[in-house]
Amino acid sequence: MSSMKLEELIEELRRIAVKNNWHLKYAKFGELGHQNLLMHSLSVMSIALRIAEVIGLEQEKYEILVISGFLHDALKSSDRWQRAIKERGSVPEDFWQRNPEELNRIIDQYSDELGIPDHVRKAVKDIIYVVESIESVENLLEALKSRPDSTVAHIIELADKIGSFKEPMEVERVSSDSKLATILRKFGLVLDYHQVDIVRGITTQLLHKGIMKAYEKAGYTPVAFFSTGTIYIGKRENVREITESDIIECVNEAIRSFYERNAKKLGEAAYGAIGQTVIKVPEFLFFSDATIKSFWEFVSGKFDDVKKYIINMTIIRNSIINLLGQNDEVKNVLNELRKELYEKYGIEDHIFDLSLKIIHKSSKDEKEVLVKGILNSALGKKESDLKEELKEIYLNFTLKLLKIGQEKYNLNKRLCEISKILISDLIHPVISGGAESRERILDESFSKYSEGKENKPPLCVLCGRPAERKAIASLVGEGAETFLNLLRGGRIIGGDAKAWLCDLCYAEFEMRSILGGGGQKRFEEIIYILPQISIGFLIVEKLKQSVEHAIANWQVTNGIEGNYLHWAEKIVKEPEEIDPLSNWSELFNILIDKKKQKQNERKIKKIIKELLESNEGYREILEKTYGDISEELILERYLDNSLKKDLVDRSTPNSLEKAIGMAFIEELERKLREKKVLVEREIVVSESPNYILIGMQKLRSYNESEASSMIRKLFIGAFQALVFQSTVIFASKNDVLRRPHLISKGYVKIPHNIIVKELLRRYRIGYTKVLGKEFYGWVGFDDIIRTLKILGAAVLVEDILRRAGADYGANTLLEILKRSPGVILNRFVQNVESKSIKREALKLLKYLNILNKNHQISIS
Amino acid sequence: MRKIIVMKEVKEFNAEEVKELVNRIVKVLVEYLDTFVPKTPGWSKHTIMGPVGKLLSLITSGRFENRDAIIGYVINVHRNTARSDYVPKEAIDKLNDALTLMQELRKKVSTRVWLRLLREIDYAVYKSRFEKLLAKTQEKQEGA
Repeated sequence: MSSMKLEELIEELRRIAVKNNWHLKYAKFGELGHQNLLMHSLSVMSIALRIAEVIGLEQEKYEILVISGFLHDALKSSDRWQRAIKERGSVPEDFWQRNPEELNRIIDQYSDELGIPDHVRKAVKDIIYVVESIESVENLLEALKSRPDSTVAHIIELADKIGSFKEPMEVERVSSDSKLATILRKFGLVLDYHQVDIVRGITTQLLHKGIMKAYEKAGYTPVAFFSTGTIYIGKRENVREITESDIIECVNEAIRSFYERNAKKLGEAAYGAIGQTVIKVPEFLFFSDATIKSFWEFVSGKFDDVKKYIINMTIIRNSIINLLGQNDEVKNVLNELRKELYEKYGIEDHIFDLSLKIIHKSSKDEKEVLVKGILNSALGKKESDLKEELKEIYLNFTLKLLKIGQEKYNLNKRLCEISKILISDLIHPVISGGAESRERILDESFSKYSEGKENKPPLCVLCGRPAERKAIASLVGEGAETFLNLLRGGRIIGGDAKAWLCDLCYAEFEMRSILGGGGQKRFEEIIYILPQISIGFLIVEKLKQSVEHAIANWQVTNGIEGNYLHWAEKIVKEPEEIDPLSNWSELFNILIDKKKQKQNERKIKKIIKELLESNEGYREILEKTYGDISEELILERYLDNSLKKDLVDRSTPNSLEKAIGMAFIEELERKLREKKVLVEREIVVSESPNYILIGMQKLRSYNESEASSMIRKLFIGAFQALVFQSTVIFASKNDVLRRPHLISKGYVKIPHNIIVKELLRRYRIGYTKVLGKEFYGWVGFDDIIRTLKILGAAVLVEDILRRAGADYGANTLLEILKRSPGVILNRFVQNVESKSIKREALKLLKYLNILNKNHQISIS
Repeated sequence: MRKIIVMKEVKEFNAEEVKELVNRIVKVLVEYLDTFVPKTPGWSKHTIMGPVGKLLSLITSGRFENRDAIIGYVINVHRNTARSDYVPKEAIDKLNDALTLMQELRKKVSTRVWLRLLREIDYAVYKSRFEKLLAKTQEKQEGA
């Protein structure tokens, strides 16, 4: 045992806990959130470890600390405790004191499996007796006799308190808890926290990240992460006061580094859509030479037909001119362009002047004149050469306008402004002083609006802050420029009378569009992977890596749908095999479409070969790292996500080598995207440890009804929640989550939809019984496996029906859950080829029986 | 404005009791189908349900009121569609049992629920019989 490393010990504890279904049992519950026993135990253990690091606990005590921290609430795993809490809503106050044998039994069971020596086992028991005040006379005497280590006991007591806070602001209550205050005094520790009122997505992650940095600079260590904030701990003598300027500086730094890291994507994200706002974020376009280049590269790849290409590229060019206005400098650059086009294609002045007026709505004839002018002069030229030439001309034209653009649209200035207003989302430590003036502005603009003097609505349609910018469809999504019932009745929609956003919501959508890499099809779905109440640093790291790894594999393998089916099969066949917080690679690397995977692997190898041949530097770096530059090896490292780690993240390479390594990975991924091998359907954002955000495209390529898609999402969300041991919330693209939405009451939140609700009621999905009351809205910890089985069976039935051509179109999943199994079976038999009836019907019946068994009002 | 017309289900029933009764009816009808071997085998609903399909549509339409008339009709369908025209006594007994249970069920529920339940019974019998036949075929294949 003593030879076991701390990480191995923690992994063993997790494994045994999962075997004993701790992930399906409650530890914390109440109006402000629920947490399962596995995550509570891991959290408390993780917090205890952080406290031990801060106070400098002796290394030899870590083993006892980890085991006692993990097992401190072990008695809650007993069936009696779980039953009592669910049925009666409470457990007798002396429950712990009355059940020392049960606690002993659980600790012994863990100790036996871990192979812990007797003295450690005894120490763990004594510490837990003290922490949980198990004061039956004999146990107390026993505990006193062995004099448990009070330092370890106090660390665990403190960690348990912090791990039991339902939100960071409960730190305020510490002063009224004399026991806790004594422990903090004994260790010379201070607690502090930050908390936000609203979760917007990426901006809030950057806010969390910035504030965490500010606290770390002030001598604090983060110990527990909530979706709305973080609790910090620090030695009284080492910490200093946090000021508003510290926070603004660190938040600004976090935001700036986000933009810098994604500079290449800025250009793509600057583009909106031809029929809408063409340059949706001018600040991105005029950020640097590189962004202008990536902008034109991106837009030129969007149009295949040469006529459309010429027209649309001209419309885009005109949008840029319109942004800057026709001042003298712009006119000079325009004249140069006029000259170049005349020399190259013989475009005469009147045609050029006409081309300047071309917009999306221009008549076909006007557009034709320009197209003919260019095409006639380019007779005999290859289409691709012509396109490339035109792109280069417009690229150079825009580069000449860079300086003028930067004067008008300065991103850095805006980022500073965003940082300043972003901290107004904070409840603690800084409450923005702008609240009063904000109220006044709101009052003024509201009266102007209601008196009809102003068309602009006073409030942001998403979060209710003062509205600052017009929402544009290419950024926010459809509906921004159509009817909105927040507008005054009788107004014509258009001009200023449309949805408006505050600066923060606007910044949020800009950031999403950067990660999405342009186009409107990005971020159709948002998944929040939130902590169950709170989470410790140990799990955060693992979770972050795992989610990123999982998503990376989905992208490379194109196996998203394959994964869903694989998960469904797994949960239906062997639910006990799903090991939470563990077998990621097995769950996410599954490649149903082997043929496609092989094709993709061949393509990746070819691209690697091309890259190695084209660049000596790449070859040298890879040879130095691996000693071998075979495409197979590099492909293998890329697929298991370790290429970046080997080339960039290791400490050995120098900065030049790191830069070359990074360039290799970036070029490889760019080429993979071009060849459609890497399909970025999901983007993971985990800037801060507080939560993970996954932006996704639509789940299926075919059109699916909203209700059917919600059921599918519920399945995926429930599965992810189980394996990631988190709370999963599906949000629509435009949702801003406020504190009540973020309260975790189980694994996954049921979508709000009357059809879905009615269907799920038939299977009793989403009903949780805790504290003697039953409520609807969440899949509880104890119901996750049954829920997944039902939804997994429905997903598998859908797959069989689709393959047989017997599906119900957009409503298939809905109909499967709604109709009798016999009806589904009949439909299948009517459509399937007779030779495969028997084989497929066996599977179908198996899945239908699962549905039928769980149907609360079903017959037979 | 005209008053809203509210439709209210007046006949209340015990869901558990009805569910149990429906399951019994399905079971008896599936047992009856054990005595029926269609002339041309197949997996379609029409083939698998045999005379039970006719029986249920007859009851849904309410064409016959007399129990003997219903049984007579079903026996006739049985003889015409089965491989052998002999109808065993056991089959008639099962039909009788099923009708008795159905009468009991009819008394417990409203017309609206009754019609819905008949549809449920129809597809439940189909599914159960299909499952049974599939298991038999499987056994045969494994045996061979």
